[in-house]
Amino acid sequence: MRPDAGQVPALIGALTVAILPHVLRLPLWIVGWCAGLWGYGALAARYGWRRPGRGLRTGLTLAGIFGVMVSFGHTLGGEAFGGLLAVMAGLKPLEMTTHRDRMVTAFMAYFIVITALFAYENLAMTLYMGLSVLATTAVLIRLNHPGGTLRSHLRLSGVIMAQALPLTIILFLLFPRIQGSLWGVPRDSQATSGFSDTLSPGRISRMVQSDEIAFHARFQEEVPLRRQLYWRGIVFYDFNGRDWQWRLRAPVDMDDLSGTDPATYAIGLEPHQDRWLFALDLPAEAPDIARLFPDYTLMRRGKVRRKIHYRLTSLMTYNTGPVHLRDREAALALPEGGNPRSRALARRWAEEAEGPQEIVDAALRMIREEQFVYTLSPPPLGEDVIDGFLFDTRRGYCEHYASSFAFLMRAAGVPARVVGGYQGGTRNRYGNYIIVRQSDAHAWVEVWLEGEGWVRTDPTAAVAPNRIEQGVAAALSPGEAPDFLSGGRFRDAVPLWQAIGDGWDAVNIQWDMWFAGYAFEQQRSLLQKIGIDLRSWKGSVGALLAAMALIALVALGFGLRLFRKPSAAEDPVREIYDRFCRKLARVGLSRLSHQGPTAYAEAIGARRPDLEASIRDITERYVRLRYGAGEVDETVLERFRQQVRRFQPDRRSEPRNQ
Amino acid sequence: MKILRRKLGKMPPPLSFPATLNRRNIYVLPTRYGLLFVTVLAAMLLGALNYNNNLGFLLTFLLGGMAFVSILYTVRNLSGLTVGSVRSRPVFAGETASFKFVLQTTAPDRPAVRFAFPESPEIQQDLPAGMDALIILKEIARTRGVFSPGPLTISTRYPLGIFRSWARLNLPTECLVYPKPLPGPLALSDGPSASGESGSRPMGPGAEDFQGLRPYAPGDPLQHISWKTYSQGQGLFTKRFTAQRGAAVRLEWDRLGTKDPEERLSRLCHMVLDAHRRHILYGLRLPGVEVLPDWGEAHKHECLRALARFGNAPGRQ
Repeated sequence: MRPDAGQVPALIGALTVAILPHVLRLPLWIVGWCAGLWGYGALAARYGWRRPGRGLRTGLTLAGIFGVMVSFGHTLGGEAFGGLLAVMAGLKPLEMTTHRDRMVTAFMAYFIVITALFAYENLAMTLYMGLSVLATTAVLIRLNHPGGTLRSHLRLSGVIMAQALPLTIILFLLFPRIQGSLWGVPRDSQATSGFSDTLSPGRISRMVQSDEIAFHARFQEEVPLRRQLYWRGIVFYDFNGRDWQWRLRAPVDMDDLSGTDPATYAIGLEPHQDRWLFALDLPAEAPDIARLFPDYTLMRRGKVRRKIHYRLTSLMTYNTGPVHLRDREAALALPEGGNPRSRALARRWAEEAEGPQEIVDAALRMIREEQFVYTLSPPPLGEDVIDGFLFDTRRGYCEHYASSFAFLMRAAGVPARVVGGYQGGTRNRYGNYIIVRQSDAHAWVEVWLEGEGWVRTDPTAAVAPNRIEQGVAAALSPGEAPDFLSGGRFRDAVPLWQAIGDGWDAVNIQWDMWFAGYAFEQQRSLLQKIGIDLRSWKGSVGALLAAMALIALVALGFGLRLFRKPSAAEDPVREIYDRFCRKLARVGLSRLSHQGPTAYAEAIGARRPDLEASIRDITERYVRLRYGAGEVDETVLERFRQQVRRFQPDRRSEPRNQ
Repeated sequence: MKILRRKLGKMPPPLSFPATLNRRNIYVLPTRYGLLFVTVLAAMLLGALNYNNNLGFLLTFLLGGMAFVSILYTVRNLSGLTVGSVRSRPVFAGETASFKFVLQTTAPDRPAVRFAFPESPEIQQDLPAGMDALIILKEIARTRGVFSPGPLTISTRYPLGIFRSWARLNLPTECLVYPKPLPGPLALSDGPSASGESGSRPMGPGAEDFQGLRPYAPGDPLQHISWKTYSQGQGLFTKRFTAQRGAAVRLEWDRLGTKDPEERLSRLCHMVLDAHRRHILYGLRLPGVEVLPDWGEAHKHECLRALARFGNAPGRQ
């Protein structure tokens, strides 16, 4: 068998482990490409088949690059780069003839691992990364120690990883983080199911179909009641008769917010390719990474293209105070014509009511008491969507209710706006966590009332109280909710599995908060705790020195271990015997690897009759001390030491014929 | 870098057996794969910084930490190794000299340790802990004299191949190189009792010259073995014969036609081997050196040694 026959399959194994997390993201042909070429490479190494020549390899390389360009277009984003890497890795086993090729391939496997980390930043991937590094390092050891067993290589790989851990942690905590990015994060073609800046009928009912996590929140204290969990995202002012539009509004002086019942929580927001951050009604101030707008929404400067973490304090009971004139006008604006029946109804309410609060109540009463149905599949609406919904179909999802309700309010002269976000979330039984999924998407209305400010009013709560109290699945008629909501998911069917699922979620969130959320801010506050202020240059230098000192300490610890005399103190008997053997080796009578002490004594005794007696004496004493029963007595040991010290074999000239 | 190479390339201080590798003679530097690895890590670090990806940082620092730890493994793989002794048999010039080193290994196991002389290919061997290992290095001995292949380099890239640790030991490693035999006419002393230019007459074992028995030594001609005593169970003996003084030939330096001393030695070497093969009683006379006539394996080697060491025998080739 060729010397590399055992190495090529091992390398292919490491590459497979590295590329496995990419399989779902990569185009199918690349998966097939890798599988085919690696299968051929492994078999070729096993049976000594011919490897393809240089011409064929060049052809395959060009074909692979062409394929990547066709699949991903000509922009080199993260996905395209991952694809290219996979294509090159697929070709690698065909040209692994030299040690150099194999080393480069092992490094390539490490690089594939890191591209997977950029795609999936979660606990499962962290654990998988450990596995992948273990495998690749074992293969790297195998390349440099062809004689060993794979098992021993895996063990050593694990030991080295464990020993590298202290240094890893120090570097991880102290390596300076930056805010923002170096050259920007390329946009990937991920389909997003989040909010857009237009709220049209059917938009939210589409989001309900998705099981994807939008964000998770960890509360410092108790999780608020479910009906209080309104996660605010976007505020819509502009209505064109059918859709609600978001538009960037010039900031004005902030309203005078007053409130009580603060709740502090941290959010880990999944990338949604837009600028909004979600916050519990009503965020009191902006986190470092975003700005708070007068409509109490949070926006980042850039789009959320990777998972971000922020901490917030929200006031659960609040009063936003007076409204700015400009906002009041925008919150009353309606399109020119259309929806005459709704306008007429609103006008009548306005005439009959004592004040705005009674108008609000009248509208809620109408939705509650008339035959309105909460459904994911409403019938199509005609030209006048509000009239059609309120008087004809009366079937719709939360965006229909919010949109119509806001229209009625404006027509009746009550300032109103539509808020898009999420409502509720899944409570985790093992901690103060809430997981909010796309299926929790929701839209509601805020009306401005004199003396109370903007007041949250949710018409959906009037038609389907269960939506707010228990969630989407409880509010929809059986069979209408998506499978994963109506208990069709395996996870929800078995109680034990449910518990395990919750536990896994809890661990994931904990990991996410402590590990993935560790960024510039967290680093700064950690260093502040040990007295280093990163904002001044002195602090930065201090951090650097501290890091270097720590690393030097770790290195010193290793160095001391390394040059300690091997096991001399632990086994004095063995040490004395070794000294005896060294004396004999010096006169050309070395002990061979297969010789036990007695066999060794006999062998040299036969060659050197003049030394035979003393050698037999020492060997017998050694065997007695080492293999005999009982403790080694210090005086016996000393006698043994003396005996070996007196033993001075002379170098007798070798027989002539040697 | 150049200074470093000069420092590393100069002859290390002479040592004697047994020589133990320790922190004073072990060096460690990254290999070119180590430099490539650092480049890969730098790219990873940039990526992690740009994406602000903590998992990326974790992987980068883990790999960096592992590279650091691997330095210690690489050094430990050599530290404590002891080169106990070396043995080599004399060879003729142009033949391959073998050097057999005995290595003593303390715990732990030492996988993938490489051994090389400056001009010989590396050999790689796993050395299990607590056992003596035999390492055989071969190198062609080109010229007559005392051949020293240069310092022994013991190195390893274990475990990750990104660092190499090594030690260069300037040990008394020598091999005696006999001259390369060169056929030619015999050059004998012209003493009165010499048997003339045709002195290559085989010396038949004349029974009348039988002198006694001596214990058998390997290399004694079979026809001289005393089978009678052997069949009587007294052991193996060789019959000794007293050749007449006049029957001994003396191989003479001065009587060779050529002037070149190395060629003369080569010619004499061939004569020694020839005389030995023909069981002639022969002696050797070089300027300042004389080996009295005798025969047998030991005598042959004495003569060859005299040829190898003759004059200011060149050390290294």
